[in-house]
Amino acid sequence: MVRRIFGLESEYGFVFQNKSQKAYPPERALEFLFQGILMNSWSRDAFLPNGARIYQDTGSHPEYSTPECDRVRDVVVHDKAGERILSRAVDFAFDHLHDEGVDGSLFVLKNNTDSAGNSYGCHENYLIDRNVTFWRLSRTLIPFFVTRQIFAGAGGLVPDGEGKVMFALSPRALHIREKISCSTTSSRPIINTRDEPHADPQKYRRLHIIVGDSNMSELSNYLKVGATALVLQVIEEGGLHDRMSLEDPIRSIREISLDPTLTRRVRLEGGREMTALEIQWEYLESVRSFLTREGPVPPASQDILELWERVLTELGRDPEHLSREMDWCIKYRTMERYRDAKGLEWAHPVLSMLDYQYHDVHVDRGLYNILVRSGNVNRLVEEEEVLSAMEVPPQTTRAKLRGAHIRQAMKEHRSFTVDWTYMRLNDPPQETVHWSDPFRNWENGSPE
Amino acid sequence: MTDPFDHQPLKKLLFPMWIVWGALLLTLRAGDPSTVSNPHAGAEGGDEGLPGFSSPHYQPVANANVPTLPGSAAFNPAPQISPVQPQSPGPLGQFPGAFAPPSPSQTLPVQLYAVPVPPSVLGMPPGAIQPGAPNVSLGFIGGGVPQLGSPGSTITPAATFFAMGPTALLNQFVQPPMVPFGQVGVQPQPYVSGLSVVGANFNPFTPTCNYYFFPNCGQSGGFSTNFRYSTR
Repeated sequence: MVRRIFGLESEYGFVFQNKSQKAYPPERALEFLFQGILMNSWSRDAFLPNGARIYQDTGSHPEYSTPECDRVRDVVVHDKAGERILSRAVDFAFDHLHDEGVDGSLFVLKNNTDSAGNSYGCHENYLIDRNVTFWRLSRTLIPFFVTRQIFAGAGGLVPDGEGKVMFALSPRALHIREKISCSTTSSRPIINTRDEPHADPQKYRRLHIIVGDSNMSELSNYLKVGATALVLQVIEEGGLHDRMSLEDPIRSIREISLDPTLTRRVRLEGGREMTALEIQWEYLESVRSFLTREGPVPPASQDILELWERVLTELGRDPEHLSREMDWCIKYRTMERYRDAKGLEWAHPVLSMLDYQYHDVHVDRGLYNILVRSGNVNRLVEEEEVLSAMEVPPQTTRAKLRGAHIRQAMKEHRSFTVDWTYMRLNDPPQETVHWSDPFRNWENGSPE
Repeated sequence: MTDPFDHQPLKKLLFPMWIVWGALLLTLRAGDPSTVSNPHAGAEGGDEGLPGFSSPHYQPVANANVPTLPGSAAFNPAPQISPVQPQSPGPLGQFPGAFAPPSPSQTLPVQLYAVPVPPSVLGMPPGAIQPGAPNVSLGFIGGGVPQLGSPGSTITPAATFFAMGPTALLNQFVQPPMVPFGQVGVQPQPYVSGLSVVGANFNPFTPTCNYYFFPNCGQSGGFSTNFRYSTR
């Protein structure tokens, strides 16, 4: 696989329930949440010693951006580390609320929709070749993103407008309004045109994808980023073209999302009709044949290709076969069993709450985490790796430098300003270090 | 209108003064041997842009120690900023001394004092007013669109409601209670507790065998036949 910088930005839902008679501002509860991450600081925007960034995004919700990773597996590990950091912060905030005599509960949810009908995103970032024509890239990618939800969707219950509920593969997909746009909220697109490469803009541009769901499943996350990276590589190398452009991608993404049977056919520009599964098979075969033709397929790419093939195969047989691995399949299986055990209708509010609880990041309380502990879900990484990533940045990118400098400055109580590409000590003479190359994990001389 | 500058007696007085002033200037110029032409002028000694204009010449003060200005350095549009050079390299080669903070002062320069919080203009102590739980009856809003509950029904917010997402903070006190997930029309619902894999008669989270091989699922991989989801 071509070496590339990846990153995920996860916007988390935040809930504060005040059960006491005492009026208490929710903003204060949010302050405690951030203090649980940034000790002795009232900041709500900071980089952490693991190279990641945590901040309060527009709308008063926390957002965690993974550090720069150049391996898909690292992205998964660091995204999960963000969940653990917030889980710990929830406990911290709860304890401090209790100390202040407030009977309240805090919930942080790694999902994409709230009860008011809002959507917040999981944004994927890929550093891509500046020389690739963005128009061609977008046209080739859009059918892939429209259909990728059959394995990357988080699943969820949504209303059908007639008092009933439906199970959607991707709740986020129902909030997409455009193919390409600079907006992230008003006319939410599949591909956002934000182009901040945080690297040499002559060589790179940033591909900002905001159509995806936040994944709890490590395998869903891994295949989501990994398959996208392979498709990007083949497009950059001229091996894939827009021969499967959809007639109406926005209509198609909704139709596919609302059809867990995976049988819905969508129309291509030439009039041909295909299912999402068939379109994904086309992408997989094109990518695999190109990579094989170019020479030995690297192990990292081969691993993703094999998982991609296995998942598509099982989706074609029966999605139940993936009910230990892929988010929407896990969630559907779990909710269905609960519904059967309790004799509930799908529209029962308890099932809706289970839908949310699946995304609760708290390690003891969250439904996904309960399923992991009980052995009902397969994992990609070891928990020890995740716990380490809460403190240690990826060692193969500039995140290593950022994390080390932050740690050192904090240790010596220095005031500093840090961003993705530089760090400055605020005291005179304001020494500054720059990291313009995200692939470079050393500062002086040669790499170790 | 009378021109204030057209004053004949004044003109008669100034005219000889102009003649004297011109003669004085000619005398000074002729008596100064160090007078040189403008060094930046052409061979004819004239200025390129303003014919007949001579740049002023600055006479250095005798015995003054005038430092020589250095030549202009090459313009560097983006001066390189070097990181701290370590003497005793840290894990990444940082110079630990560069981060040495000033010693914290153990004493404050001024004595802290408490400022009493004045009572409100109405004389109420802080926290005296606590809003009660909202009492909202919802059915239809304008246009007859049902928002919560069926037509004609009313929903009293539960003591525990569940709101989430970016607007939860804003909505918590100014809007009706949020429904428990992203659809309008579902009653508020408390967090479902007691989810466990042990000790329940009906246990929805008991590990089950499916297509793949898992422990205790047998050599066949324990393919599950009781899955009723797939419609194909």
